[in-house]
Amino acid sequence: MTVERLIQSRDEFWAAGFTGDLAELIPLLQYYQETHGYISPEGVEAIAGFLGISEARVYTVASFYAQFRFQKPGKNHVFVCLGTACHVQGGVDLANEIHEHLHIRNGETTPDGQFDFKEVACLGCCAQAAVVEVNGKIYAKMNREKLRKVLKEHQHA
Amino acid sequence: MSISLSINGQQLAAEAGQTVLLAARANGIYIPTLCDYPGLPPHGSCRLCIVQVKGRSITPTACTTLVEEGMVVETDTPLVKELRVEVLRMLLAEHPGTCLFCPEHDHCQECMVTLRKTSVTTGCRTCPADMQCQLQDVVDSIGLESVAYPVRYRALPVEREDPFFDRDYNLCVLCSRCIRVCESLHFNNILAYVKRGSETRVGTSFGKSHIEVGCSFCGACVDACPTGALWDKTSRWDGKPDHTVSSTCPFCSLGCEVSLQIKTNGVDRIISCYPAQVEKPLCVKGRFGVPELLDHPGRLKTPIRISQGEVTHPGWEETLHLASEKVAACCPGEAALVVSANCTNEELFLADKLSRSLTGGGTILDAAARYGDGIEAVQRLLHTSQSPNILEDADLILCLGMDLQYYQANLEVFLKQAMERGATVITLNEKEHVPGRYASLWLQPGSGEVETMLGRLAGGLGKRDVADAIHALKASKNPVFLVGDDYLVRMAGAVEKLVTTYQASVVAIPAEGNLYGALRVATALTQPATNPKVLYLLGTTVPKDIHPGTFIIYQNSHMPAVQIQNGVLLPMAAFGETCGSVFDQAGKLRNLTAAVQPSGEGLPGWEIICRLARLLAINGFDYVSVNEVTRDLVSAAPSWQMTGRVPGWLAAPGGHDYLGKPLADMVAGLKQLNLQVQEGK
Repeated sequence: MTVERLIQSRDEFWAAGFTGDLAELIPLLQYYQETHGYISPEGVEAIAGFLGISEARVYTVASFYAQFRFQKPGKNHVFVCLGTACHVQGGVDLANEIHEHLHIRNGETTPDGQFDFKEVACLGCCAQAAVVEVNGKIYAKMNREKLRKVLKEHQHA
Repeated sequence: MSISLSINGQQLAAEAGQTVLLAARANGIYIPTLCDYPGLPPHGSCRLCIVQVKGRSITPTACTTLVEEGMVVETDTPLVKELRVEVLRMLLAEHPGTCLFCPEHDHCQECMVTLRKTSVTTGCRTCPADMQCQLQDVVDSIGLESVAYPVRYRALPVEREDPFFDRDYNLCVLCSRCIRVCESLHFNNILAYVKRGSETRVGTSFGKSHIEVGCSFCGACVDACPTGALWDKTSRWDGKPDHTVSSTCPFCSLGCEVSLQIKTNGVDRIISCYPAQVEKPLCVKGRFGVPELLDHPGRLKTPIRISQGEVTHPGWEETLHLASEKVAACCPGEAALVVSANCTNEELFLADKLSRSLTGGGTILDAAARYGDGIEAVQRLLHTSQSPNILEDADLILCLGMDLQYYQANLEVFLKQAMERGATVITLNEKEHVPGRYASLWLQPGSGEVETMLGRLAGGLGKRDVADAIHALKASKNPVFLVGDDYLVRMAGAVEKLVTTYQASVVAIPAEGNLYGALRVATALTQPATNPKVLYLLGTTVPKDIHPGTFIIYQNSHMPAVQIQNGVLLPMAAFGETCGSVFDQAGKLRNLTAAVQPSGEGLPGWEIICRLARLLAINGFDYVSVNEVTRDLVSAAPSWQMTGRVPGWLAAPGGHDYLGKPLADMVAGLKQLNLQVQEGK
């Protein structure tokens, strides 16, 4: 990363109210994810430069927390629930459908940037198990076939 | 204050504040551990050092428990053993165990090579650390004979792109010794834990290469690794060394203490170089440069005679005889002897002695061409130069031209320690460099303006950042100037003036391993031959502008880079193959030790000079051991003089790391790092 870019991001962090204190590491990561969509290698470099610590120290914290993404999010966000009720109703099958159909694993984004996919523990509507959430909308009582249809709809949309 | 406690029924005295583990170890009681490491604070992550303490219901780890008066500790009770076995079993659930539990394990080494027409290697080559692995030792001591849980192999690709060491995190036991060593001994954070839970592993940010994240390749993490996860590329599968000798790193004037580990197997030899104390890492040159230098294909192994470009191998007797005839046929003004500032004191002393009786003048130092007119200022700076340890007491450190990315990166510790205790660190460098990232002040002159800036600092006049630096320098009670090789070569005079102005202490670090010795032991050139007929090159490169008819006596450990038309090549023992002494940059006498036999028919440098002198019937060369030379050398008055002119044909040496050559020409990894530096610019 060039010095100019580092200075640019430093000014950006200052403008957002950060001071450069080490305790701001997690808020900085959250801020970066909010503004850029995900934590990129450049983001880690910028934060490390801003706080005066090594990239590894930023990355060790970032990679510990499940809330941080390291891949550019896709156009459509797919969440497959693997909570108890959904698990019993075949949630794992749905996750496998995503692996087989979209060729991506948990936390990844398709190369064409259409879909990102995450396994989650519970979406809070266990009565409708198994559920999948796509772009904030809950799809109830899902099976492989239905999921394929839903994905197709979004792909063409 | 002494504390008495009992371990396994044995009454011991321990220091207050000592841990149970250290108290036990000091008294010869073994407690297995993997995460404990000298110089690092207790970590308590491997859980193998658990012990029973009377009156406590839990089994605490010995490495995190402090000794107490009247404490009763048991390290080997059935409960402790059972728990320890369980801990180890869980640890091994993620560690490949072929080398640990194999019925052939004990016989593997001796059956490795079978007798057939061609040698065939049998046995497993699973892990580069086989027979040197601390996990193997722990498994042996606990007496575990099988794994208990299904092995979960991580199936991570082995990372081999970086120079010098490979990283196979499938073998990692997550003791974090590498992470902690990088952080507390080197004040760096190249490695860290990545992810969490069962996915945790050691790595860099986004799995970038070590070159990319700015690792200095000091190798401290490799030395700290208890398994084969981090392993030196040149010492894979070496097994336990036969013996260890201590010596001095020859690759710059810092003279770091090293420990050479040797393993010989018939004519095969394995030599690797480690820091003498794990708390004091070496830089990349010392830690990784030695094996490739010593076993380089360009090593000169037999005496060679070259006549009109035609090469013959007549053996030592005839080659030396020919050389002595050529020298004897010269008039005093027609021979010249050039020495390298990497030679040992003994070689320099004898060369000087030989030169005086042959030419009437002293030897010519190749570094003189590199330093030019500044050589006298360098000499005066070196005369007052002190050991880097004085940086520990400085309240202001001024770094002049220190890059510290790779070479001499171990000095960074002093700078970071200084920053931590609140001292001022000012760095002056026109280029992007490591101290520039954290120093209190970075003075960045434009290219070609360094000398002007030094002048402004000395003159006490300047604007902005220079004014701040002057202010800090004036306020400082104990300023220390750390002077790198680059500025010593380019502007020693200006540096000297600055030092005098602020009455600062100096730590000057020339690149040549024994410049101090070369300037002191020998080297008073009076009237050098302008067009020598015979040129004796002791550890230096062949000058380009020399007359093609000149007879060259080339004494070196490696082949010359330039083709020689007429002359002899004399194979000299290299570092680790011969004894001797050098002066470090603070004038301290340091010993080099012979750890292995010279490569091929090579002889120690001092012996070659003596044999040649005896053939010339010159008195005073009847030495039979290097110690006799050292004794004479010490009793001779140190000269500290450098008079006369540098001859026009003397070119600056092509490199100054080792006997007239850049180390990067011989060590592939260093070449890779140098390319990186060039790309960065």
